[in-house]
Amino acid sequence: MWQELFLACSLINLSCASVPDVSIIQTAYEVEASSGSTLHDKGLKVLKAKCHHDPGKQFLCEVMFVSSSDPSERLYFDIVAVTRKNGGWELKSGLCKR
Amino acid sequence: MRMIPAAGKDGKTMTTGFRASRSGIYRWIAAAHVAAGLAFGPTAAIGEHLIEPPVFASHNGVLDIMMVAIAQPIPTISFRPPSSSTIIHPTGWVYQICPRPPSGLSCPAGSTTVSPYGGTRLSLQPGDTLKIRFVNRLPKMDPNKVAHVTDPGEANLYLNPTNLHTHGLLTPARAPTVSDPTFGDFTFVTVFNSANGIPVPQTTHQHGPIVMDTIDYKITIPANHPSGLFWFHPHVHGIALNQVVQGLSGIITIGSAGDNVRGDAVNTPWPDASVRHLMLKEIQVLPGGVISFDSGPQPTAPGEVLNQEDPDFCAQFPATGEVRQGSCAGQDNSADDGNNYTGGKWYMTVNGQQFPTVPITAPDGEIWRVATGAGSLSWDLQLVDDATHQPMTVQLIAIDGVAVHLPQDSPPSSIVWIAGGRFKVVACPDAPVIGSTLPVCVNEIVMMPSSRTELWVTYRNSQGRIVPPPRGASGTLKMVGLTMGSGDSWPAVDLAKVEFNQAGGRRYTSHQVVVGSARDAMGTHQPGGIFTTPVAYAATAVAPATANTACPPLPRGHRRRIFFGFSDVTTDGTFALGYEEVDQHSNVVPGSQKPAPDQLQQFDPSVTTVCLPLGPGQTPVQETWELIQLSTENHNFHLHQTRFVMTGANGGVIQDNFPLGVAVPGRKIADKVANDQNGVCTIAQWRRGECKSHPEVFDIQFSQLGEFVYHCHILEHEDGGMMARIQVVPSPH
Repeated sequence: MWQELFLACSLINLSCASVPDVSIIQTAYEVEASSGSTLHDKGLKVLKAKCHHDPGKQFLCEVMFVSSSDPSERLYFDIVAVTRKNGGWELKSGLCKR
Repeated sequence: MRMIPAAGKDGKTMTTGFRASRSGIYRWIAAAHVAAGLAFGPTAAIGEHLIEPPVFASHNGVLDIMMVAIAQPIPTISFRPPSSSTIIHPTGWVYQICPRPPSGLSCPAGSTTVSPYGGTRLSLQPGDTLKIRFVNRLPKMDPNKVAHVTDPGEANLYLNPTNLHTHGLLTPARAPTVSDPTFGDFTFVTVFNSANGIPVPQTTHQHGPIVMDTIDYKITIPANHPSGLFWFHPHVHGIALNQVVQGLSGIITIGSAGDNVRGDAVNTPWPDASVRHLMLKEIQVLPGGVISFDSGPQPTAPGEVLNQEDPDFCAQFPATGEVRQGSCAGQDNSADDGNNYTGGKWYMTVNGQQFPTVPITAPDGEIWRVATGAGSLSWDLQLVDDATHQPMTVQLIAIDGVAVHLPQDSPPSSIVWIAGGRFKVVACPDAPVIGSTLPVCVNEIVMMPSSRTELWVTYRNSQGRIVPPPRGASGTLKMVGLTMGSGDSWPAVDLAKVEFNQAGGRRYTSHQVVVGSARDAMGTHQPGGIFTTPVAYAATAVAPATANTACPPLPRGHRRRIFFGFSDVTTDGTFALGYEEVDQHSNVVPGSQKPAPDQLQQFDPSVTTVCLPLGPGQTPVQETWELIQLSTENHNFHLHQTRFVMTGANGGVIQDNFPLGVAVPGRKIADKVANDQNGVCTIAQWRRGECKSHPEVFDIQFSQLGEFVYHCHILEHEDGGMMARIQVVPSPH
């Protein structure tokens, strides 16, 4: 399915990322956090992401991030489920300081 | 890392980073021998000489290694399943260790890589840095055979994540940062093996950081860290038991035994050549067939390891004429709705060897440094004279890695009280008081999970006097069997044969060894000691934003009270802890009770139960904690990153785990507790005086920053939820 979508994107000259990356996850997080989602902790900045295609039609992404308000810049590590939604991306699980 | 290039007794030059032993205690082993042991370690039959664990030693202040958690057959255990002539070496989970290679996530084949089931020893010095590239290559488990995989948020446990805890070390429990992405002794991280699949995000009850495949640890040992015996093991909540009983553990030493021990004849440190390390492990091997797990009946293969551990695997005591040398035979419990283990075996090994022979040849005897890699099992040890069948006297040197210090005016039996009844004290014949420490002799030692004991072992007659051994003198190191209150019963098994061939004159000892130095328990409280000196690294540490409000110091005269019981006494296995603060008048501080008044809570890694700051000037802080046992089975209190001493105890027995006695329900509620409450009292019943439980009160020194845990170290109980999170932050002053 994803391969077909990516092929379609390329045919109509759309910029469709094939796999979520740091900027995609950060953007999706900020959209959801600003809309008041209680799924996520506040003020997070994603530093690294590595995503794996899951048979459940989503991506499972290893994410490393910091909390913007933390002067010690402690690193947090989590796995986040990411999926396509309306041409963009949506986080299906929480991005939490753990 | 020191590669140990020196020549040994046999004159061979070592090219490897470890050492081992044979008939003498130490010898260098040839690289070829090591290479042969690369895949599976040495093979051994019953009665072969005990082999020292391989050693990786620091060099120039650093030990830099790669540690890969892997599965491999255990060559020292040969299991013959019923109705088969094929020998099976059960699959253990072991740490494969090598000097850290320049790149990659695997150890090279060759003589510098070891992976013994019996455990490796990491030899460190105060002030060292232990660097570990840690890799998870463990196989995933059958989810139907993992007890806690159905607990909230724990669905990924079957993927077999792991981590590492340096048990007993006074070192920071540090989380990684952008500037230093390594982990300290931070037990919340879980490292998954990507070959087992990517963990699916859960919504509740998850562990801490989730990392794939590898992390780097950097464990800094303070320069004023006491010498002693410690150990390392995995600490993933929910499967700590599975991983430890399948083999994942090893030994850590700081300094050497001679730092705290010398003979009474000459004032020189005890020689390393007469020091032996014994790692006790136990593993249950199934005969095959259908076994009931929490999920229901499941098929098992012959030789499969039962890593959930069942105390009823064997009969507790041998039948008449039954010989149990390093193992006991599985029994049929089906008449009691239990499993049929007939044809299986429960192996209890020393350094991975089944019933080895320990030849004591040094005229002055040996120091034994005994550690346990058991999961839930508690050892009850005796060295029994084979001629008299009476337990032999040995001198107690250290508990939990710290030398025993009993002042002259204390009765030796006080060690029983301040160490939680772990020892049977007997006289040390002819041993006068030397210096400020009273010699303590024992002839029975209980080691609950995680504890360590160090002993001076030399031949003694039936009166406990040191005499030349008669020809052929021998003893048997025995696990004599132990019942834990109303809880588990652990079986009796002979662990090792000890041969006393001590010819020649003694050089170091007359009647005893002398215990104590500036680097032992008392030293930690002296000027310059780790519990009296400002914590240097805390001065530059950044406190969490909430520290001032969420981490107030415990007011003077107050104490923290910890309850050990169930979150729901009507549901078996809901192991949990409760918390409250008590003022100087023994009144509960309103609002302090967690999770709520008179309730206990199973472990939730997202909840910090206790938070405290260091003292002004980043000095260590002493608090008083009171432990209340609500269960009628034993628990074993352990607190990371520090150690504790019983309040009011006249002596320096500083421990990192303490066996709690059992609660005694009064006549009015006894039946209700036994029949309706799974043998566990409620806090309310304790407050009303209906359930008697002697509070154990400890002075605890906090000198290390970070986030860590306190818990029961019976791993079934820890995995079940009897654990809570604590944080120490820098002082705002």
